[in-house]
Amino acid sequence: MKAKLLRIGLWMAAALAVLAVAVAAAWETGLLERWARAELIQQVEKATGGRVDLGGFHLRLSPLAVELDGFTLHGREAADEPPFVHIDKVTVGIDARALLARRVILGEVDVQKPAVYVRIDREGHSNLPTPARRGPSKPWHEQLFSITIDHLRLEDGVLRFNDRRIPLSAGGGRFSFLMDYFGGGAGRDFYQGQIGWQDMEVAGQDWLPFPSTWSARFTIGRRGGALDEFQWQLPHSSVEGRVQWPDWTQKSFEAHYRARLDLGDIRTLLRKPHTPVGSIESTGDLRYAPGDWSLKGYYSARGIGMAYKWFHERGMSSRGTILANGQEVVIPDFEAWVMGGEVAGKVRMDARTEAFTATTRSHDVRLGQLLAAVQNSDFPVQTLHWEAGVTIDSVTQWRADFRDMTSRGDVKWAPLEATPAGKIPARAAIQYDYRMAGETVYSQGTIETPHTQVNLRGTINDRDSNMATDLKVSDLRDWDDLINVLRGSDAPPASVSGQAAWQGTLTGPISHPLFSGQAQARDPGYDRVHWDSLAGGVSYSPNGLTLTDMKVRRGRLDATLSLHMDLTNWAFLPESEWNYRVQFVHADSTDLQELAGTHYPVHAWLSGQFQGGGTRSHPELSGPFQLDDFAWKGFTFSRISGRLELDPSLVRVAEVAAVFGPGRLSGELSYQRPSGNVEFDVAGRSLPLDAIRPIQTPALPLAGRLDFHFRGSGAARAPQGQGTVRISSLRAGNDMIGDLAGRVTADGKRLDLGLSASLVKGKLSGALALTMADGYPLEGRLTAQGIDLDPFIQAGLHLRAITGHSSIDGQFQFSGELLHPETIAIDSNVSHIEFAYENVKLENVGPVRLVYRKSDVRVQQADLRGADSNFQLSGEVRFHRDQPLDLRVAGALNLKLAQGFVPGLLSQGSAQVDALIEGTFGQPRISGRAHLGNASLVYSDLPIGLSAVNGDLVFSSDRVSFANVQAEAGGGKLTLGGSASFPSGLRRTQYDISIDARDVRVRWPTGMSWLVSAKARMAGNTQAATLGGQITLNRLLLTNGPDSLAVLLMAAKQPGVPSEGASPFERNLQLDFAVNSGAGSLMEWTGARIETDASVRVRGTWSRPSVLGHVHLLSGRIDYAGNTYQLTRGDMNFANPLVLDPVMNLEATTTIQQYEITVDLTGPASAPQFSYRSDPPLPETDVISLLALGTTGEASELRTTGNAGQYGATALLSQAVSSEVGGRIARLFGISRFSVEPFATGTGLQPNEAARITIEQQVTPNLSVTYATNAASNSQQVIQIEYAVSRDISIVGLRDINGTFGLDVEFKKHFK
Amino acid sequence: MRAGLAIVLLSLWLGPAARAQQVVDRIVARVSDDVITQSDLTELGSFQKLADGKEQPASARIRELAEQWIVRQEAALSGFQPPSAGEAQEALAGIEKRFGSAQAFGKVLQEAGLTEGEVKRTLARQIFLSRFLDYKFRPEVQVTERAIEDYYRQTLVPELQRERQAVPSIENVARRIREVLVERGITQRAQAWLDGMRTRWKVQTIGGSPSP
Repeated sequence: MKAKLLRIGLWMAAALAVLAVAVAAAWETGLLERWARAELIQQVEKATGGRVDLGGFHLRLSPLAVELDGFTLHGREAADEPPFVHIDKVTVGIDARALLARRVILGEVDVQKPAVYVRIDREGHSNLPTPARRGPSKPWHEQLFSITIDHLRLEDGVLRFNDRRIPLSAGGGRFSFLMDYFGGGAGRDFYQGQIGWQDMEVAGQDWLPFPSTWSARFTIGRRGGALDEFQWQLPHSSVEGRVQWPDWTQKSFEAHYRARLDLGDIRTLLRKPHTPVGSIESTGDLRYAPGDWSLKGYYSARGIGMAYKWFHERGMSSRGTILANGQEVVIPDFEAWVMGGEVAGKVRMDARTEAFTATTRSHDVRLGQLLAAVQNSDFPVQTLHWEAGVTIDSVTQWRADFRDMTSRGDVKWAPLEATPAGKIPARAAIQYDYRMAGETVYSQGTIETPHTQVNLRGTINDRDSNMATDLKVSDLRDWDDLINVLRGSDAPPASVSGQAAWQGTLTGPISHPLFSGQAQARDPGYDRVHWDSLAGGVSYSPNGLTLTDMKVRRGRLDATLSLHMDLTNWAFLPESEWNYRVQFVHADSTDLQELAGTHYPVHAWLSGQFQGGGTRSHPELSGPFQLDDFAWKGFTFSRISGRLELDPSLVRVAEVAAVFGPGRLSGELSYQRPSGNVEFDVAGRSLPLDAIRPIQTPALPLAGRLDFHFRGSGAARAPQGQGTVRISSLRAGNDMIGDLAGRVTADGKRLDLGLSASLVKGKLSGALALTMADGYPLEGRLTAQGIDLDPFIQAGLHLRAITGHSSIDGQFQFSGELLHPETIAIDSNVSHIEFAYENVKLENVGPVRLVYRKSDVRVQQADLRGADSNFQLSGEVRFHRDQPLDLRVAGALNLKLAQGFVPGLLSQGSAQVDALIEGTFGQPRISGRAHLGNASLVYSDLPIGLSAVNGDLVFSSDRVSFANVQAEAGGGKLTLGGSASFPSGLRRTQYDISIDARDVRVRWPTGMSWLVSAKARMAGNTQAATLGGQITLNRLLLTNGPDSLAVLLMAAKQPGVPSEGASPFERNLQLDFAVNSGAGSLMEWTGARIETDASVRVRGTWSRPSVLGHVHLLSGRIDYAGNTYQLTRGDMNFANPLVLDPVMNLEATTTIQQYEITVDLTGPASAPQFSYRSDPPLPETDVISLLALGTTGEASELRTTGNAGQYGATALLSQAVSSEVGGRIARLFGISRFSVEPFATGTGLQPNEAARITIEQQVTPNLSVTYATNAASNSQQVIQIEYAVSRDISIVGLRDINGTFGLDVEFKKHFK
Repeated sequence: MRAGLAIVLLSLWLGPAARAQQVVDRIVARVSDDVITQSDLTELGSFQKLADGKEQPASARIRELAEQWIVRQEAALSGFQPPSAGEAQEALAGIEKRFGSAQAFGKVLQEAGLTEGEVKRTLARQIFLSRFLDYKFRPEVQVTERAIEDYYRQTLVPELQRERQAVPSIENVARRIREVLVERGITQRAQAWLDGMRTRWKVQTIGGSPSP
């Protein structure tokens, strides 16, 4: 068995060997290749029915492959037509599986330059080869081929279908092609195929190679065919459809399609990055016949988004029906939803001309979204915050792919029913006409918001726009955000305000417009800068901003500005250049500071012309300037002039010349940044110290001349340099001190001042060192010998009543910090001091040691002696209200010294004092005792003074009691009792003092003297008190006659208004007196003596008394104006407690010439009524004339003469002008009636008027003559003669400029 | 006080010599580094007598002369030109003409203790100082239409009515009212400025009370 098997094996091996040898022989001899070539040609020709030409055939063993060169398959083409298929070269990798299957399975097929030519004519004849028929009547089916290629690549191929050429360049994965042939008689045979290609990549000329999968099933018959199913899957899109050609001869077909197109595929695959996003779905049916076709379909677009610079919006959608035929394509129900609104209309395309027409109406489109869609960096229109509902009726036409587009329509904006917060409602009506040819928009219309109105008319395009623009904005705050965006992203936000108007044109390309025209603004504000108005030419473009002759006004500031700024795409960049010129004439610095947003404590009037330029990051400024009346922290310069140069690295003020009173300052100063170094050379000459306010105090006014010269350089806070300083004729207070000179050296760390002096009295020397560190510590030492230091005593010791010169010897050491004056301390060691206080000369016994620091003086030792004085001081005095006192005074004190401490007190005499003053300066506590001996005290607020005062004042903490104090006053005797206390300080002293007076004369008010006896009590404090009791009036003397009473009555005429000049004490001193006349009480004045009987109650205040009661004038005689009157009756009733205005009822008689005249005075004293009668009777005017002039002869003149002193309005105003001019002359020359007007020669208001000269001559005390004339004319003379009959009555005679004579009788009332 | 004492002592010491000499003039006050002499004081007093019939107290005249000095200094700083001699002569001639004759005017001057030259000098100072104040302060004075209307209604019309004069329309007198208000503003500013300058310049009276 084994042997049999072995034999079989050997035979098989031998057979295989023979076979291998045979195959090898066949391979080597080319027999196999020729067999395969013939077999291939035979099979192809059999399968297709065509004829095959094959150039070369190569069979390769490894890998197993076949190479065909010049493969041609002929169909039924004509001789002059290209073959059905021709391939330059085919390389076919053969899958081993093909050897086992009937199907052709190929591995890798590389087809180079394939050319397929298919022609089917109208009769259905084609060049397709037809397989040979097996029988004429019996149907049969044969699979012609089934090819599967794992990977197919077609290179540089072309498919020609009739006359159309379709490139064939593709490669891809699995390719399958199955073709069956169904034979049949009578031309019913047909082909049916199925073709598919997965992951095929087709590379168009501009396309991105992309994988797609497609498949198709088709049927091709002799009469017709069908694309039964077609599918094409793109990455995100797909197309499906089917087509039927029922009859090749008709060339008609029907098709149905369904497509879903993701626009992203177009953007990616076709390299069109600007393609919108979104998707479009469409289905439809197409029917085609030669000369007639129609399509009906439907489309729907969703999520359409565009991201163009001038339009960017997402979420748009549209839908509509597509109707198309050979003449037109129509979307009759075009709808779109964009920007919150809806677009509806009709779109039509002429199929022949490809002309589109879209007639649409857009409504409810939100303006805010529309502006957001067109917003871009060149057009930041969204920042206007406008909102409205937009309606657009438009007709838009274009050709083919949007060529030659035109659009015309009306745009209307209407405010929404409820405008969202932060939005501004807008209204507009705009007509536009857009033409793509030239990209021109012609517009006219108006846009309105609550604060803005824009009128437009003109054209806009990308070359030469010309749009007239009229813009009015009543509140620029609405434009805040837009302006901030235009300023550039690097500029800090700023607010604008005010009103503005612009009238001009927009020209140039719309992408780079130029706005030029005139701008005006009222109350414009920009950030913190505000003006009253702006007006001038403005030119504004992305490349620059130019202001021409811009008039800027603010308050009294009036400036003219010309400016040009280079802009880069609207932005003023740090490197952008600019230049400007601005001129000020006498501009108020207050306005400039408010303009600049600064608040420096300086004021001046600025004149200057500045110009500058550079760039934004490196601005430059230079120009001459002049500051008039410059005032800064107490320094006042009449004028400062110089030249200012300013750039980021240097501030330099050169050629400075300043006028400071009679002094001059000159020099220059530069400051370098950022090093902070300074360089200076300044000199001052004859600078008045009294004009340097910071060094002045009321207690210690300083005067003198300061000269200095400093030069140096280095760090600003610690420079190096040297200089000299000299103070000439130094005065402190009223005392001449002398001359001081110093030399200053500074090394950057320390400043040394050596001081020498040449004084009027005494010697002074010293040195001062200042360390240039924080606070600038200083230390120094002064040695004084015989120095007059009155002012320093007054200022330092607060002893203001220094009345004589002082002399001091001592040493003074200074220490502290210059920048903190409160730390500066002076240690004084005075070996000798003498001074006069309230004319009491005092000098020390032994050394006086004081330590002074700000408001504190520590008296370590002081023993003073003088006239009626010999006392010791020791302790501490602090002038701050809350600082404790501890001062002991013991010894004899001259009472004059008290005058310095109690304002208004006049005191004399001596007191023995032993008191300890504690508490605080404002609220002292005094314990001790003072004995007064023959002292006198007068207090200014009181109408009487005390003399011969004797008694004791006992101090107990905050109280002083009067113990056995007796005095004399007004010729009578006074006894004082009670006490005064000051628990809240001396300024709030309270007192309760009893007064027992006998035959005291009180002179109050001015012009009246009362002789009274009284028992009174005064209780209260320094602000308010009550004085009351019983007064017996013995006599009233009126030094000025009835005028004294009149003054008193008029002073009290208005209730509730305090008299001017009354002290608070007088205003608040309440009175409560019962006043009765004594026996034989008299009222007297010069020429009058009247017996009276009075009983009144006096209440109210000292300054405004209230009187109730009556005064009877019993009898008397009065001499008045040369006449002697007999008082026949008289009553004065004080009935009104609010007004001191007694009701008068007086009658007096006198005799002049042969007339007995009776004068009655009745009514209130404030408005008395006079009546006159005479015997024999005369007219009242004659009676008055008789009383005034002693004759009636002038009476007729008085009646007939008009008011002669009338010059008319012109004369009055000229007089007023002269009065003002004369007032200035009066101050400088002390004259009131004699002046030459300054512009008499023709530079004033009245250029042709000559000087008016007025001379008043006081001939006698009662008679004056005034002569006024125009210096250029003899005729314009005014002569006035005034005779004062009495203080109250004057007679004035006048000859006026017209030569008219007049006579006035003037009754005067005097007011206090 | 001490200065007065020094003068007394000096007078006693120099007494015999002084009796043989004539005092031509003396310093009555110092203003900064300048002086006011007795003759200045006397001349102003005489002029005041001529003008007002009486002269001001010496202290008032010193103050007036000091203020003249202050204004003069400021004018000099500004380079303000004094009036020409012709202007002063013209003013003097105008005054003289009003007295009818040169003799009458000369008599008045003699009674007042003045010469024509002194009057002319004073008149020139008046013109100069008054013009300078006008020059300095006129630009600062701003008069509003409201102020003109107020003056017209509150001052001019009542005054004219009181004088029983015809009341013109405001348009006819607006220009003159403006000048009145400008002059008033100049006066107010000049007064305030002088008050301020007075505090900066020290005026020192020398030798006690000057002669009247």
